[in-house]
Amino acid sequence: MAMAEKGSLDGLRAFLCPSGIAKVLILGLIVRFAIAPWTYCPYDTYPFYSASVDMLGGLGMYGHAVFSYPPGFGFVMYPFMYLLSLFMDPSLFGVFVPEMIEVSAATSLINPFITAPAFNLALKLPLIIGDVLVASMLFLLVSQWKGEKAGRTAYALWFLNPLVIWISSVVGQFDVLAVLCTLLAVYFFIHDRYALAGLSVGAGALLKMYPAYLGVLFATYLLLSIGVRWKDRLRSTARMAAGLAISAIPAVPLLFTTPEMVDFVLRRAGADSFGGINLWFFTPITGNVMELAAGGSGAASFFQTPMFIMLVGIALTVAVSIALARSGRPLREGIITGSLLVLVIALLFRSVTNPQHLLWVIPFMIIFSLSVTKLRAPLFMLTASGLLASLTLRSFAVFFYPMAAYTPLTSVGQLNSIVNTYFSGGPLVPSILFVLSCLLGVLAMLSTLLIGSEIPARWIRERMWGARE
Amino acid sequence: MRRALLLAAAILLVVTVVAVQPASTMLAVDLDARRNLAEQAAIDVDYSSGESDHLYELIVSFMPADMPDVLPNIVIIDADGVPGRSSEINGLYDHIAVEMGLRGLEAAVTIESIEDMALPDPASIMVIGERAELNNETAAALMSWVSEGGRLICIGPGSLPFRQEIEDGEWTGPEDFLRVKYRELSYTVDEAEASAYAEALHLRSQAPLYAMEKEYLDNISAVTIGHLHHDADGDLVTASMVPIGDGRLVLFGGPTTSPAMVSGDSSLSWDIVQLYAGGALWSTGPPKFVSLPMSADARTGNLTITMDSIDAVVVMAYSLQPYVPAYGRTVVAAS
Repeated sequence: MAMAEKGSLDGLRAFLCPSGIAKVLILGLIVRFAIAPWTYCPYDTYPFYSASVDMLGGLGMYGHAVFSYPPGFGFVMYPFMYLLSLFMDPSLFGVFVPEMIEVSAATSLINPFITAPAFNLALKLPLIIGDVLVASMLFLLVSQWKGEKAGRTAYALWFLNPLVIWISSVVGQFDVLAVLCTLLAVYFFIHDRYALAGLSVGAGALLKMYPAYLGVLFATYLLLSIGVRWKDRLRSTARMAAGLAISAIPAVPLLFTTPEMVDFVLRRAGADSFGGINLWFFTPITGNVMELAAGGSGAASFFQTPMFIMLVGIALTVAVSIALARSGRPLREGIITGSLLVLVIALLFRSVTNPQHLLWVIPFMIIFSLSVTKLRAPLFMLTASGLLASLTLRSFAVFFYPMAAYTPLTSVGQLNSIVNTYFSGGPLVPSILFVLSCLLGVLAMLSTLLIGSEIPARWIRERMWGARE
Repeated sequence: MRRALLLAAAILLVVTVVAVQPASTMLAVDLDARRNLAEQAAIDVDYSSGESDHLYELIVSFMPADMPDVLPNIVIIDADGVPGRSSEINGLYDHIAVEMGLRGLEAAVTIESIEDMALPDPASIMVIGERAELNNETAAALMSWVSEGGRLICIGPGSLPFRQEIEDGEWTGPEDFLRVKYRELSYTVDEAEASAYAEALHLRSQAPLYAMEKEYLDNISAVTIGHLHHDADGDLVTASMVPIGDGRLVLFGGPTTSPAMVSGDSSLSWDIVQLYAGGALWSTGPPKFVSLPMSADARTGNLTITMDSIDAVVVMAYSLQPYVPAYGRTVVAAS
């Protein structure tokens, strides 16, 4: 019994900190913990604050209709916020700063509200843990196929990736947790654990909706795979569906206690803005291309809505899934390739693609780039694009307001003047810089699509999986 | 070991899922308000509320008002003439409904398209939160509806249907339409001055992108209910209330999407529900308020405040901390 327990503990330790990784892990953690308390996103953090204090106040995460994500991150945040509330009253979690109203009005993307360092740390702690777990999953996936050296490279490429650190430890967006679920889903799927794959996809969709794209890929793969009896195909699909259904159970009580939640979450798909690191990257300069196409009349139809764009993305996802399922590629190769292509399509065909969304594809690009060196350039381009887009949208200064409010190192006034200087020439220069940053990411994704879809299957098999198939 | 970890994770998940369910909607503040026997203009209030899990600041506002016994329904108008509902309209609906629910107010909140709707009973409240694309005939009908006792709230330039506009230095439009001019607001914290209404109800929308020129509002007997900004080109007002016949027109600067505390729709929804529940839409004079200090303990106490008139008074208690939605309300009849 004791031996088994020791074995489990050793296994856990080996998973969290594989051999030869300690320095990378420690360095990555030091950087993250050094910056996490003193930084935040002046636009995105408020909904997390609102959900946190509403949950602690017994109102539920949708209490003030400010948090409009699926409920998964509320579940993740709550234990950390509850522990924080034992030491600190929620009234101290953040503060309204009238001095910021001016920059708020000038940029439209800053709330004059600063969250406390302890709150920032509590918010980001699960994200930092997510960073570690994703790195460990990458090590596991890659080392099983390419050996531990490649696994260690994958671990470092993720854990020390500047965009990953920026999104989790500065911006405080929780995409990394959904990324973890997609990697778990892929791992379980290629090991024929379909119920667990479905459970992982469902858990990911409780955080952010996008893992549902992988659900489409998996279901298509199971139903259309060559050389498998229909009975087995249906049985596997049923297992995955059961896993999906089980994953939805935590959300069910909220459907009864907060039925309007569905409206808050799904209405975002109908939001009327376009842009970011996707095919509509130019809209900050040109205006909404859909309205331009309509002669600037402002008259909208279904074909001009984000919902339509998303449906096009889903249709392409299905097409790619069918092509890969019927291609006869080995399962691992097909699923990894499919995941990458499907998620790149999902990013390109969104109405708004923000820097944090780029994390969705980075693990899969890392896996590919270890064998297909041509993909390294898009990987680095995408990382740079995410960082630059984040920095050029409102200037770097906006992320450091907690440092200004809670330390003597800088002041709110100093940061305000940096932001005002950045926007002093009007919105055109920041818009051009932002659009160029986004263009870099779009080019990276388009080249990823070309590389991922053009490479002959045999070539990948030989380079990446051949020896172990 | 693995089983123990899985079991612990499952227990944590179950506890978390249970803990995050909405368990309470409102911390009721009992208010017993009456006229002071010695001085008719003074109001005595006994208040009490239960214990809270967290610290909160309690405000008690006093609004002289001539208002209906039952709070009326709120209709949000989809007025932009474009198919589908804009995010502004959806946002206002979500947040107003939430603010009403957290106070336990049962009046209905609905969205109606201007093309399909018949004008509601003048006892209702209508909200236009986006550019209104209406012809002059419909706009005049809306103006008549207000005149008959309706309350119309318009947010942002372009939302007021019966407005004259300046073209080449001349006012254009039907003569009886209102002359209201919006101008871009360059906000600085030192130059904002809260009105009595903004202070008593803690209105949040204080820095819209566009505000109204006070000079023209004064010409139509408007009362400032938001913040006043002293500008070199003339004072600007963020929110204002205009009496029209038996009704009221409330004008907010805007547009709805411009940021304030959180987002425009959230802040404006708080402001609208505060004006509504606090009685400001039916006010007969400026309000007063008392601020009680931060505490999580059960509160019991009394206070007396002297009003400027002997009109009926709406007494409302509310919290500044949104996650402790303390609320209480009562009306003291006119003397």
